[in-house]
Amino acid sequence: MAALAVVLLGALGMIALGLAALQRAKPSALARLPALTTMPAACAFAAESDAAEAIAGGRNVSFRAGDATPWTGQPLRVADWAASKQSLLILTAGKDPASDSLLLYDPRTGASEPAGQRRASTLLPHWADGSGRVTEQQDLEIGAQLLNQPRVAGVPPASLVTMAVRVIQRPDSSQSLVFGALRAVLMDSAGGGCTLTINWDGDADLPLIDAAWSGDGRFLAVLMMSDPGRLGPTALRVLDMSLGQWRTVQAEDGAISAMRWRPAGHELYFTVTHLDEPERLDTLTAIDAGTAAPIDIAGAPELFAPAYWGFVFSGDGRVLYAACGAPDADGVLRTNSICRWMVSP
Amino acid sequence: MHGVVLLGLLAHGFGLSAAMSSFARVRAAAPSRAGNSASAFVPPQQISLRVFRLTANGGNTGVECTRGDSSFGCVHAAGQGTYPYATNPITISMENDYLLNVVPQEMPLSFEPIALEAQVVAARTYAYWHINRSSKINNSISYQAFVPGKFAAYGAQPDNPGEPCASGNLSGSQSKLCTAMRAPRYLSPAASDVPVLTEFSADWPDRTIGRASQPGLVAVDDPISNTSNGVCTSTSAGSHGRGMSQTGAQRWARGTQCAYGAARAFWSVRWWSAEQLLFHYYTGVRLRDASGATIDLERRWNPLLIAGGERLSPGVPNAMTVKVQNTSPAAWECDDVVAGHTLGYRWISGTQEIDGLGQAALPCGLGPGDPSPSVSLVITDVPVWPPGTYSLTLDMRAHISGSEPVWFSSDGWAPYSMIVQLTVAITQAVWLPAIVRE
Repeated sequence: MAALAVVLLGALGMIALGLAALQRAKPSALARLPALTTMPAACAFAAESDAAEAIAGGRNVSFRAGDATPWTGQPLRVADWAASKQSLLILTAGKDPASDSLLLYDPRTGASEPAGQRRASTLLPHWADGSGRVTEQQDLEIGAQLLNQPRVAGVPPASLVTMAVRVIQRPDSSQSLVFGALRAVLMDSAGGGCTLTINWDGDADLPLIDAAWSGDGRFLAVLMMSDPGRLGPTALRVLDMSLGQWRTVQAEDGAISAMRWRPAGHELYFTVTHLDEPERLDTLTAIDAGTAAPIDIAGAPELFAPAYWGFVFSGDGRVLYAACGAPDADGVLRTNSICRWMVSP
Repeated sequence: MHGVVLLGLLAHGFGLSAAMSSFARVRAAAPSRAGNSASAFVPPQQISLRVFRLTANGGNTGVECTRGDSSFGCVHAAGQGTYPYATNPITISMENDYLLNVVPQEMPLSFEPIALEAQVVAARTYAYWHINRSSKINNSISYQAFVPGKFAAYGAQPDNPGEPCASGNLSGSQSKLCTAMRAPRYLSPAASDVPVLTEFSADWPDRTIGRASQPGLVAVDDPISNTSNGVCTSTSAGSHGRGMSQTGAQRWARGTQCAYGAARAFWSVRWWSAEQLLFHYYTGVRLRDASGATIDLERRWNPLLIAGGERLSPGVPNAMTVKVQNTSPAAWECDDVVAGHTLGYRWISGTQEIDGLGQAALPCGLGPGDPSPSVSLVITDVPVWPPGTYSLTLDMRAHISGSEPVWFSSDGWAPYSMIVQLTVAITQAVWLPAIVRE
């Protein structure tokens, strides 16, 4: 327990360092979180939808490969879409997390520039949400204070401490999901909130990896590790806020490594990493969260494994971007380009 | 009228120690081993791999670790120290570095000792397999998750860094892992000393998935991992189902359908050795030592399920159904030498052993691993012994033409031992809460 506390404090310190720069770059304030100091009661959502059975005959979406833009310096990761700039946020790794850098890349012109004073790292994904906004330091501090109450006995799974507290605002700003490590709280902007119970059928709390709201805020997708004691397996669950019900998204033959909502719809895309098959790239898969029907993808791109935050839709959802490349002489996949696929309809 | 109540279809509590002592006796009985001498494959002492920053679930970020990097993957926990190696890729000791830091990422050290022991063998064999085919491996879950410093995170920094398991300051968890690693063993196909591909996955219900191109990876029934017990569930989420089910191994080691939390949803069978786990999940394989010599037994079997027989009465037929798996490296053929194989039983009271009269024949040619047929064993000869605690052991027999049948246990493979309690004067068919549970 003490070990976790120490590590999380260390992580928070790094957050603070990074966010000092973020604050300078983004002075406009977001809606602030209510200053909850104790974990609120559990949310009253149904554990699993009775209508969770997939509906046959889902919609079809086709992908057509476009061009690839070579990128100098690697590795790189297509981290996010900055709506205000109509640009991609590109992460390039430095020698350590503190020297990772974030660039804005305009796919229309091919121009890139430093993303203001913003800094990012693979360790602390604080560029966060899809609108290009960053999270206020105060909100992170509130979230951290609320969530960082270690209750893991013994040595925690290492992955726990890679996950900083994140705050993801619902598109209408009415709520924010605050999550980190083993806990997630849905906080209302007007005050109050409730604790999400995500692993309702298991024996242990599970580390959360990522979460994302659908464009209209109806759905909340949560990616978590599905085994408390080992790396690899993940589970993806979707909460339908309008029905108050969860649904589990099954991935066949692998671990879900990344997820993205396609803007302006209920299409949830995710990549599946094929465990024990290092020669295979990740497979892009999708469901329609509204109907639970799988989406039939024609020309589905195969992405680098694992495409962790490695694919991004443009703001209109018509283009998908991802880092791509080729194996080097040692067989290690190296990203050296930004690839794009045209998506229709 | 006497009755016999099986305390130990799941031998917990009191039954545990009794079953273990029985097992230990058999194991100590100088088993005949089919050793070989020539070895083409030389088990490696070192392994080379490239080390990357990892995502939260162990995926490869594509960012190689360099000196000073404190990212997860380069170190066991983000921000805790920095990448400890001077190079990347690295060449490190298989036993004193690689496996010590792999196994705790692949299986919780809180798992049962035999599950950990099986995981160690599977992880070592998996690494050997990649080395043997000159794979360029890395530290991500595309292979096996390796993060520097994970072993040390379970206690103090070992005071013997060159040979951590020889340290004098190990924690309980560290010692447990070191015990599981004490003998470098690996799995090979029956006909060769090269390592097999020992894939393993987190969990898989009912029946594992085969991989036709790889010897050893045959789909096998795994009934203890199921979705129907109403208490906990086995899941295929995030797994591929090939080879050993890690959660399944924990279930067999606990004798429960639930791998986590308090012991509940007890299963009718519990296993007591890593070999039972390994030969169940990996089909037709041999276990070899650090020199490549085989150190296993050629006649092996596992019970997967025992139904009926909770209460046996003397003088009447008592039916018991046993799901039997051939875990030997070869099929149980019937020919001029071996007339067939049967499942039998023995009653044990102290030093007294009585061969049971009943037996159930297994099909000729039953192949290793799969299928695992259910056979009916009828027990009519419940001994009339004084009330007390005894053993009923199930064992396979090979019927050799012109000589006495050979119990598998006489070769050294432990029989399946159940603790039974002989009671008196049970005149009504009532449930006796006699199973001792944790």
